[in-house]
Amino acid sequence: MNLKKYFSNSLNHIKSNVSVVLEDTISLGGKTAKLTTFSKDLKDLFFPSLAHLKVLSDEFIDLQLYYVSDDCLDIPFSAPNWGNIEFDAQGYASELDQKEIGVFFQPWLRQIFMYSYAENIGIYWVKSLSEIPWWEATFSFRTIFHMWTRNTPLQLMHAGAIATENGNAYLFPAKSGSGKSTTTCMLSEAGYVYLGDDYVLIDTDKNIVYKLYGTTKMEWDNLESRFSHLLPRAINLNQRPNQKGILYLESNKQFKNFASICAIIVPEVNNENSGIIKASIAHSLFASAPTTLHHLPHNRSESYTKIRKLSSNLPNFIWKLNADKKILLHQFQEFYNETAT
Amino acid sequence: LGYNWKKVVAADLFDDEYIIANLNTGLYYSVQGTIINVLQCFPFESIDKKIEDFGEKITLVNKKKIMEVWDELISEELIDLNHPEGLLPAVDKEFIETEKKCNLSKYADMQDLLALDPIHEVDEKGWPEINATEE
Repeated sequence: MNLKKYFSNSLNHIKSNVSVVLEDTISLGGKTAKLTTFSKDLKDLFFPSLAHLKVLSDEFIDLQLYYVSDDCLDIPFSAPNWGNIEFDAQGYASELDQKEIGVFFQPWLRQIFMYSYAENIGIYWVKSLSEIPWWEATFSFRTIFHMWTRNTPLQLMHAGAIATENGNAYLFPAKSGSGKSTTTCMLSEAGYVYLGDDYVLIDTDKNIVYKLYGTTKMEWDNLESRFSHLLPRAINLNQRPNQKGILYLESNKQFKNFASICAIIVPEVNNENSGIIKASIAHSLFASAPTTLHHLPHNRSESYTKIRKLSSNLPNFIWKLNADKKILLHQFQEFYNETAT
Repeated sequence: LGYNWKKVVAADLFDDEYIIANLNTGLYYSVQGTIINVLQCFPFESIDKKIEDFGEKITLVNKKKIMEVWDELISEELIDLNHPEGLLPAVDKEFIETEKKCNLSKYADMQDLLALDPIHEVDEKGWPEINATEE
């Protein structure tokens, strides 16, 4: 398939739209991205998880991203000619992962992510607002951000992260259901700065973690049993139990949204022997690479190299978690005292 | 011709464990035991000769186990059996003593990625029928 032509036609299609333009500029891993849409509804849905990254200056834009739906376009968006492209169970198709253009389309959803590596322009299209999966806005434009980082030291990572006020950060990579959200929420409530509990952005050259999304997703049972006081702050109480609970955890407003990583800590639920112990590079790599590259299957080689480098350059630990918040906080405080720089 | 990792494979030795990623399929593997010394020697022409090169450092029992894991690596399609660099002289690596048994573990959580399917039916605008499932 000629992806260059499809991308170019799609971009022209969007640019020829005559509706009112809504634009926001955000700081993304030390770079600048401009998010453009024609729909207030789309902005209200996708922008809140990124709103804390908003900046006023837009002198130099590293990434231009358009997000549209057919609801706000004069003419509906055209589908590519699929031919015999084979999609895997995650929706990845190697034919749509080309050097100049990346396309991500899961055949069971009518939404498409495209990125031009030459132009640094990304496009997100969805058929209509009502077809957007509930989880998509909790990690807005994740796939496009991922493609944008291909030729940079930046890497999105399926991990939680917290930091101390003096800028020491700890990364918690793990697959879903391993305790990332519980760990980061618990530490954030104990006074540590929340940097993310699902996806964070890492500079793998400088070992810096950037806050990306301000959204927390948590199972309702977990919210109720461990963080019941946060329950009223869930923005989707009326969608229980069909969606996970969604919250916006606020960081310290004075904090810079990034910090230097001191250590990688792999959370593992283990009720019998709780504690933080040294882990091998291999263990840390296994906790972070498969889950991240499962969600973000484009540019696997480049991403794997970056994640491997991060695991190799930082001290790695396992945190065997039990259900006792007091003990866990004490363990982390002791660990912090020993490892902080 | 000889043996080497396939181009789509990223294989790294961390301490005494090989972590292998098949970047095409998204499948991951861990290899432990004396075989790591053999894998360190890629590319090479003959597995038998390579094991012989280690002399008494590799016992008969170990050789049997190495061959079992070697066959698994081949059946997982991680090794290029016709690698042109096999004819080049291999660089000698320091022998790593390990007490771990020869073993290949497959990280199969993401195995469903192997299922491939084209789009069968589309609507009048060219978009497939939809059926949302959570990731």
